[in-house]
Amino acid sequence: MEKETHTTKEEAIIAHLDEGGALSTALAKHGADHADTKLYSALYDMKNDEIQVPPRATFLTLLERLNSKEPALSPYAPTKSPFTGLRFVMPVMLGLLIVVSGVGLETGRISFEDSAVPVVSLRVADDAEFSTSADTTKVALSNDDNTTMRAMTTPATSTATSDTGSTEEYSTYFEEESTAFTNIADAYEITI
Amino acid sequence: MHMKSLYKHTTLYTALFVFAALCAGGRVAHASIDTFCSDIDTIQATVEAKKEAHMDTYRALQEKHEERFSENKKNFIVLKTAYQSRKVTPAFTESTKRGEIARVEAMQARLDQAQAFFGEQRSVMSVTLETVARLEKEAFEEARDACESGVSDEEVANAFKTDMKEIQTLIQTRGQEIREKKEQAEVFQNNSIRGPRTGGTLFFNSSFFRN
Repeated sequence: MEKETHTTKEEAIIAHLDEGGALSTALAKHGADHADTKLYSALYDMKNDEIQVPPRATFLTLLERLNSKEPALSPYAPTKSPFTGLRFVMPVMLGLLIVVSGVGLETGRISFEDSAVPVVSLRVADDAEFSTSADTTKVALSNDDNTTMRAMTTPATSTATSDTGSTEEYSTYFEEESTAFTNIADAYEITI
Repeated sequence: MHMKSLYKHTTLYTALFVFAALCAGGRVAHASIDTFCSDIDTIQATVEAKKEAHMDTYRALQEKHEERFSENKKNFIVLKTAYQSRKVTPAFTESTKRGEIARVEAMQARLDQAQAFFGEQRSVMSVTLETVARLEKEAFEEARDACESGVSDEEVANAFKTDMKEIQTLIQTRGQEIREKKEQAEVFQNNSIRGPRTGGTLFFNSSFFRN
């Protein structure tokens, strides 16, 4: 690559030297001074030093690629990235992560509070020793701990008992009260 | 022992009073027009007794309903707290938890709406009853004045009957208005806000819990 650039620069300088020679000939024909001719040549050389001109063959290749389906982002960029496969893998992995996290949160297997208390602890007997999934050291639980955890995690069958009022018919309440109110009128039913 | 005896006596006197009031009512019902002015005190006592009986029923219902409102309110708070503090498990998922909490909140909202509506309508009824009491008092006063000023029994009785009819109409009209308002009230149209049907709700929908 470096050699190619070097060659390109050399070729460019030679080309411009030729142009400088042609220009000085032209200037001499019009009566210009030799010093002027050298100045023009120097100016062209300076310009060529600053600008890296790719060789003609590279331009032609680029022009060909414009019509092709390959992206012409840069002549020096590799045509195929070794990370191209990630374009398909990453979204899949991300989606999978979201689904797994969602299911975990939904079922309580992942939680942001009391995460140290494993769900599996429900199935251990009172006073049992067990190891958590995160830590392999033995943890001894007292009866109270187990009872508390059961109370917190066991489906509460007692909720049904405190569910009264959910189907309360306020309409019936109102019917009763409005009827009782209207019945007061009966007190004024007098036959004389 | 003494209290028990007192209770027995009170019950007996109450029964006698009710019997006397019923007899008086019967007498009023069959009294001749000539005796209206002389019977006006009995008529008033009868009207008052009957009115008090109806008022007792009305007040008892109001108290009962207020107690139920209060009980349910406390119950819902306990239920919501229980659901909020309950740990999520595969058997009781996050969605279920949210659903249950939303259901309790809907029930709370419905209760609050119903209570507010009851409060409004009760104040209407209360004002009506005050008006009724005033009209009744005026009717009896006017009847007595007319009797004393020598107006014929028939004329006084007829005027009195008209006054009583007006009072009756007032109560019935107000009752009808309240019922119509109730039909339009949102809280009674949203009786379906009960959350999902579960074994528990089906059980508590049974006649045993619905009195």
